[in-house]
Amino acid sequence: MKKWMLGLSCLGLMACSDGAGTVTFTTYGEDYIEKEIPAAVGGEDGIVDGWTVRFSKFLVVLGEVKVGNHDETAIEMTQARVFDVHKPGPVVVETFRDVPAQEWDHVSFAIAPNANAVAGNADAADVTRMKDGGYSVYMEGTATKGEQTKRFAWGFTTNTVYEHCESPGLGAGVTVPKDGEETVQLTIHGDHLFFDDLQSPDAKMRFDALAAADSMGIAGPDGEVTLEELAAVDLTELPSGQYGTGGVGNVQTLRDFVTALTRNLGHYRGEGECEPRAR
Amino acid sequence: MNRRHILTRALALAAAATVLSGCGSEAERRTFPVEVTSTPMTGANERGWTVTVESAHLSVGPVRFFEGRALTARRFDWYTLIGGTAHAHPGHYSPGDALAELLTTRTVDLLTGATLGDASAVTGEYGSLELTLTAPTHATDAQGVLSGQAMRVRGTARNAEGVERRFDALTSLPKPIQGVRFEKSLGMEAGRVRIAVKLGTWLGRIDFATATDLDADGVYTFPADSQAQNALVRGVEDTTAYVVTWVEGAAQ
Repeated sequence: MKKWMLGLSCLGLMACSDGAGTVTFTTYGEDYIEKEIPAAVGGEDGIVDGWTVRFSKFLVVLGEVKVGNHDETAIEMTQARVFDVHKPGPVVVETFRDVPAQEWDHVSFAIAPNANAVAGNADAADVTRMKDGGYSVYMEGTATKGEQTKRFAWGFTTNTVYEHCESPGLGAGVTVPKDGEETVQLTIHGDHLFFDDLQSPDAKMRFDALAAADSMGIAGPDGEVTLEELAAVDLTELPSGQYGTGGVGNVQTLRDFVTALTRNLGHYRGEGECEPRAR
Repeated sequence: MNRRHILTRALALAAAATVLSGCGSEAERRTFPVEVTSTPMTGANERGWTVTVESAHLSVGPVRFFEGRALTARRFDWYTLIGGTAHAHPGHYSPGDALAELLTTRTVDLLTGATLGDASAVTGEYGSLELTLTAPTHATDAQGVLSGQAMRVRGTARNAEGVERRFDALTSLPKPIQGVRFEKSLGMEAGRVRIAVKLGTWLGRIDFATATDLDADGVYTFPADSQAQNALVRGVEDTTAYVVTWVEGAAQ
């Protein structure tokens, strides 16, 4: 089907690129990052084993935003920026003016470490944190369940390009209106860090195993779940119905698992999807 | 959308190639054989067990090929490698258009290897495949070597302390394995697809000490809730256990 559309667009694009418009990219952490991920109650979405997660910081290095089509790149973001999507959003990532007004079916962006990144809406100290740690993603927060509270502060160095972004309602890419402006949201889905399957559409959000890592870990049960403690938990020691890798290779520990999930934080215009490619 | 319908549409694309000539899509119909074999396990596994495999069988098929690339690491860095080989969270696997399919199901002796059959295909940019490990029927496993499961490995495991376990490992998966890496720009050249099962990945994380069910013949099987069964299932569903290559030349 894509090839049919490509074929037709070869004819169509020759006569439909008069004029120019503006495209503004924003980023947004939605309520799950800005407020909380609640415990599931009844049939509602939430963490199924009773935990509530609240982030206090959620940093991402956004860059390499590209708009184009099969043949050319129309615009490209050259300066990576650090955003704290826990702060109220959406916030502007970059505005591109004088973009040829037409349908551009290729939109991509990167969440990747960048030594030259500058502040988006993040504090200067957080920009330094990301650059010094070589992080692409960093978050701090707490998880609570009854009387229990667990803190976490996790930084990840994953380098992921999100390609072929597509919105369920608006289709692939973006249409730039002549003399108008289109806003495109790069949405960050923080809840995905807590899914218990890397591939199943029936995955659920859980925190019990992550919390238990604290008591199993190197520093003992001190109330903080570290990545080193997650690395000490072999998936084969967890219930076989949970933390399935579903066909994702080389994921052996809870740290591997959460790290793999960070490759899917990036979304497009809310619930839209991109194809993540690891670099 | 039903994947079979997707393939039908992809094949229709091939038939319409002349209409699209000049716009980059000139898919042509073709077929290619698909064979399944294995690579042996070498050295001790993660839990310190060295395994001698005596038999290994797999009920496999259908096999479907897609244009969508598996999520792959491009440089040697541990924390990029663990991204593995698939689009990696619920609902995100994006296989794209189907390019080929082989609907045959066969029971394969992995120690000798076998050809599954010919895949109906179109030329194009291949990125990944989906592998179905199907529980066999009497017709596909007349001798019952799989005991109704999709895979079975029998052998002997030994650890450094001299503990020895003759074992019989069996399992099935509830759904196909998606996102197995196969990147190939396929034209009309002669060749075949080889799927090599890495027995070292299947058995690589098993602590055979947790295989505690002993039968009358002195063979241990894996209790359903044991680490051994858990690790076996995780090994079998690991996409990196399947190395898919294009072998140039006519089928042997």
